[in-house]
Amino acid sequence: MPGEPKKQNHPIAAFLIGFIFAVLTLVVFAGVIHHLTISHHGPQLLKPLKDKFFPEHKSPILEEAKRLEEFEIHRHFHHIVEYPQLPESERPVCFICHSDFPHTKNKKVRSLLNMHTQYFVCEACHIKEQTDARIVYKWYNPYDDNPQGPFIGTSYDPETGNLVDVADKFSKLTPFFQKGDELESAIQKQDAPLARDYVKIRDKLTPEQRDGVKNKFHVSIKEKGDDCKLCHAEKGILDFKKLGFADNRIEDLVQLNVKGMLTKYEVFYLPDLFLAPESEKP
Amino acid sequence: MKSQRKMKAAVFCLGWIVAILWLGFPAVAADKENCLMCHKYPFVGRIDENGKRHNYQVDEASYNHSVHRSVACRDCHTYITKIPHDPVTEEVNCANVCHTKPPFAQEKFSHQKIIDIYNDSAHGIKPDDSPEAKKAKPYCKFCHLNPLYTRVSEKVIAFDETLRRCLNCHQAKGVTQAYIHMTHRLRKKTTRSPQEVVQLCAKCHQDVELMQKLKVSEEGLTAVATYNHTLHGKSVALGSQETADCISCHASFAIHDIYRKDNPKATVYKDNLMQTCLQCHTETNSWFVQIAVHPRTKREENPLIYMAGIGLRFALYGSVCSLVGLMLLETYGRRKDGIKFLLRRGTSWRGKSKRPPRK
Amino acid sequence: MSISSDTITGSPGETLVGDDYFTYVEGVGPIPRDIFKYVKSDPFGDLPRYSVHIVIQHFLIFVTFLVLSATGLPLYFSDLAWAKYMVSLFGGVDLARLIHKIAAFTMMFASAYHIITIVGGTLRQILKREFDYRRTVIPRLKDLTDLFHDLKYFLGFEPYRPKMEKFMYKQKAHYLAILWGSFVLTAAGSALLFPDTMAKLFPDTMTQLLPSGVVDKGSFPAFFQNLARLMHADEAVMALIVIAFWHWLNVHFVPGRFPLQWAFLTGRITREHQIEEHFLEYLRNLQEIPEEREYMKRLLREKGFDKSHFVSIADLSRVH
Repeated sequence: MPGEPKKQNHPIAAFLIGFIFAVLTLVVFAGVIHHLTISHHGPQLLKPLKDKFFPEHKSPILEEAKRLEEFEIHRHFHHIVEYPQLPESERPVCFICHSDFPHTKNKKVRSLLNMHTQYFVCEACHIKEQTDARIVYKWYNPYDDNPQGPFIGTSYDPETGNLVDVADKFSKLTPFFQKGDELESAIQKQDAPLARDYVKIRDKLTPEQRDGVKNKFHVSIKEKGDDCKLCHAEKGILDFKKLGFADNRIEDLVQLNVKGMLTKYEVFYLPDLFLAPESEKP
Repeated sequence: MKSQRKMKAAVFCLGWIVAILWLGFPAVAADKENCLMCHKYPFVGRIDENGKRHNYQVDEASYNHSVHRSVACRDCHTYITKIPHDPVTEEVNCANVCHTKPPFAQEKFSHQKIIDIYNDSAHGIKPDDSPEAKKAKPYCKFCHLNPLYTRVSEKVIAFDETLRRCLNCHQAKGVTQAYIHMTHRLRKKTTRSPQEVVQLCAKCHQDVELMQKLKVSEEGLTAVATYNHTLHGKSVALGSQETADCISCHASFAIHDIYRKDNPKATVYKDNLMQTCLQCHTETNSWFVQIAVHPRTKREENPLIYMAGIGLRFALYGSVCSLVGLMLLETYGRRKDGIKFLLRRGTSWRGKSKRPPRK
Repeated sequence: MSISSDTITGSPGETLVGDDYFTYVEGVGPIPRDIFKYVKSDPFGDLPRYSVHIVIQHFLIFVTFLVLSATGLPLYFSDLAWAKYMVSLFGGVDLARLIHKIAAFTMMFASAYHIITIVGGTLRQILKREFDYRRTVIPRLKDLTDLFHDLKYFLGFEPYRPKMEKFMYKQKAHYLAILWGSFVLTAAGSALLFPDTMAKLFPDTMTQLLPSGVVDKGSFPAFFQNLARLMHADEAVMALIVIAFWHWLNVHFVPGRFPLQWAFLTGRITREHQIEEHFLEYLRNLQEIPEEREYMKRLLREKGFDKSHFVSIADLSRVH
């Protein structure tokens, strides 16, 4: 019959192309809805609702902290390189009160002492000796039961002379009590319930009560840490070789470099530098 | 969490390894006095009495790839005379003469020239400034971190190929440094990207509270917002490298000579505008420079534009609503007459009309 | 039964007469207004509607419109989160802007091509004395009455849709809107792309045409640039919304057109659509296409319409 159509139904392609148009329309529709409801370009119809259910909390403390951090970047000039940090829950318990920069009193050396927190847990210097156990030092990594290194600061890059950058950034030297063949960790981990509890309620305690609790924490801690020369010496308490330090690095640590400076300044400049914290002087 | 940290650390290490291989030159003995012995460690620092953290680290690798890599520490930190040194109270003076003598120069290097330009500019501290202004004005270190050498785009210069030719005559170590030192600056006007420039200027100029304290003009108060409304601003916000940033128009090649626009020395002074726009817009004429670069569509200032905006909005809502309304009505009416959505077996009119029969 | 005054003059010597329901076509028979409910249609289209030129032009405009929207919108809404991802699809904002310009020039080329086809085609028709303004998009008073007639039909107050020409009221409105829109967008876009050249084109005397005190800084180029900034973005957003919410839905998603009207690719319209919305154009198809005439004759015979009432030309004198 003349004029009778050859095809009487749509091919599949019609649905496919039509689907593309539908998707485009939906995309534009989503955009328009966004524009009308929450976008700051549009009338913000849902803003009252948003403000009601998701109120924007402005914290002056946070803002000030952020501002100070930015200020520090501008003040610093030399680039602040971000150093990876353990999540707060994984850090040793001391961190809660003392932070990464615990030393503040002795103006001459506080920053230098703080530097050691990258390598040591606090107890490394501040642990009280026990009569029935020997203290041995090992690398400790909360993520790794038996960290193998290489560890940060143990060797120099022969090319640049810089310290070699390593993957393991969380291992720290940690004291263990050796009782017979058993090794017992000397550090307080953060899962200690006492610590968590204390942080929550410390504002409600009187200063005297607070001191009492603090004494509990510090039962095996001595206030003045080990003397520098205890480690920075030929036969110090740290066996650098065994701990994975390279020979030239050991040399710097025990001889010329660090110890040299310490001895020199002890003798010539500040004979009483390491004797007592400044605040305790008359 | 753990793997994420490790990953981050790994990427960080890899980043530095790549950076070192890429710049490919060893550290220079800028640190003759071994200051880095203490200052290289990330945790050299302290919390002060106000709870503010001070970070005293000087990252070895960064420093050795910065423009100051051969300047000895005490060339800038002149007030340090002994180790361990006392708490630092003095600021570094960038106008110091350092012990580096640049090639083709008679005297030792100093930033004095650029500081003179800067001191004369709107940002330099003047004797009659208010105390707020004196406090708010940026000093060198506010805008400048120790600049790291960055490699110029391969489109501008084929880095390795060109350097290899230098090595035919020159010693690798020296010429590589000189080469990096020069190619670092082979850019249009600023080493920084337009995004970095806008971000830097906006840090203060966007702070309306601060600007109000400094009693800037109404235009100055909204400068960042109005810029962000233009094609210049929008393109830069999306990452354009070709579009004008603040420095493109507000400073000459001295970069630091930024003045208020009523100062005849300003690049945006009305008599200098032509020259400034010509940097990009080659057909610039005296009418062109009157086009607002920081446009404001306030009713009082631009009533025609303002009304046109409202008119267009009405046209939009009116046309979309009436057309979609017509479409819905049409669909309702035709569906009632018996049409189906899909054309099948040669017809869409497979339904029964619910309309009253024809008279 | 009344006789409609709506007579159509086709080729000389032939007169078609219609009434509200039946339209008598010489050599075919009386065609009932709702015959589209009984015809068979090919989804790809049965009757010619667009020439191959128009199909090509539509396709060019269609593709460039999508590209222009995709590259232009993120720039306009640069501070929204999706903008960055959208421009990264085009390899960064600088490349996106270049693509935007290339697409714009392609669209302008397609527009010029369209104008040449339309003007050339019209001239040819005039020379051949075939030109009929009723078959064009030129608006007439009939379009307004058609619109009201149609609204009444949709609401159920009229039994049938109006008998409309090749281009009905909404197509004419849409076409003219696009004409205006593309003129504005091209002019404003050129002003944004060549602001310096634009400033040269407008002498300062233009400034005096504007009411005093309304032009910022008193110069016409500055005013025009501000206007262009506003118009280019707002017109484009309006175009996109109208295309997405009305054009696509109206063309592809309303009953009988779903899921796709093939006309924009094949240039042909389905028979049922032509009779329903472009009845007068269908009558011309009957004249011009013998196969269509045969088809309709047979259909009328099949449905039993051929014997019913019709009005011959001879009867006309008696009725009046």
